[in-house]
Amino acid sequence: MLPYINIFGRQIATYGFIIVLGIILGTMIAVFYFSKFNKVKKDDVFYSILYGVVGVVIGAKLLYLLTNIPLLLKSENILNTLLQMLSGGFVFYGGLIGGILGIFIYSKQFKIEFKSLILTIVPVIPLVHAIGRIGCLCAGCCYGMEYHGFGAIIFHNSIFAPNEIPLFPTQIVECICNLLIFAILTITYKKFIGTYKTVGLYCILYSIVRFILEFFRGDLIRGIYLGLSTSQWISISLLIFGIIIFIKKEKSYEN
Amino acid sequence: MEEDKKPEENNEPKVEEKQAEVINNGNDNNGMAVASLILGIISILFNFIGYSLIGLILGIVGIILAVNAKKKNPTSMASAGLVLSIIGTALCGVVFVACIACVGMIGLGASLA
Repeated sequence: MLPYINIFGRQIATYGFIIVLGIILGTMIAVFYFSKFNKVKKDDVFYSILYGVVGVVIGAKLLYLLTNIPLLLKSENILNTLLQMLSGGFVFYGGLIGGILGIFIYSKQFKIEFKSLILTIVPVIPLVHAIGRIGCLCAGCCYGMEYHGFGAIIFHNSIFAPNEIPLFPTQIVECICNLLIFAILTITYKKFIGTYKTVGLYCILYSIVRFILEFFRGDLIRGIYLGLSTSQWISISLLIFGIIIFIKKEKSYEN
Repeated sequence: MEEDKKPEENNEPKVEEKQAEVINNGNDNNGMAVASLILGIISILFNFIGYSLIGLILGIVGIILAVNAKKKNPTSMASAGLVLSIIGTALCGVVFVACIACVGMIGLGASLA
């Protein structure tokens, strides 16, 4: 749709530009709004997000490489293919796990309570993800299956999605769902303050959304195991994890 | 009087040790701050000459060093290193970060074909 934009005469990939904007916005909301509800300094929230972003980049890339091992083994020039893989391709779930690990490392390194950091950052994840999906729409990736109903989108000069074919708007649907999840987490935040229930709720809501949306995806180049994609298998695990956290009885902060 | 002097004599080396520790830590932190500053600058330069992948890796290392330096001894050098490393990582990230099935896959497809 709009894979590149020109800023000061430089051609910049829209996806990357939008995701960076999303991270900046998410960081600001976490630092200035959600940190107020937890026993944590604004500096620590900011630094832990930096660690988290580093974890996201490494985790997303690692899972991407793992899902593409068969392709890598098939190629004649493995080193060249590996370099190609390193220069593009991310998996959201890999990024999520990597990001949490990054924040965990920060909390251990500087002896700051992991719980207060994670509870400050988790509510903004769906917001950043929603903004990222707008980037997907611009780049034309993560497209849906062929669909002729309401809201179908047709790409005319996309380098990823099939052109001139009406497609299911998976990017827009996931963006709206993520915004709704962000709204739900923000509204219920004060109710679940100081407990991991916010994390549980996010895991439950997002895993359900992602599991269903995967059936409408048209980009079937990702790993498929026993009829379900890698992301769907992770969705099932995340759903179970989320339910356990959500129903578990837990004490809030003392003050 | 002698008894009073003894503890002072015993304390002297401890104070010196502490000072040496502070100086050493300061040097370590200063080293990390300088390293993050340099890495941040190189990361930005790499972005402009088209080696975003290397720039991203250097920027990430710069961020980690700067955060460590700032947490232990918040100096202006560490702050500058942090800001430049973030800018470098963001600039390289804009070019490098792509969703699955994006730019990398085209190159991959071409290499397999």
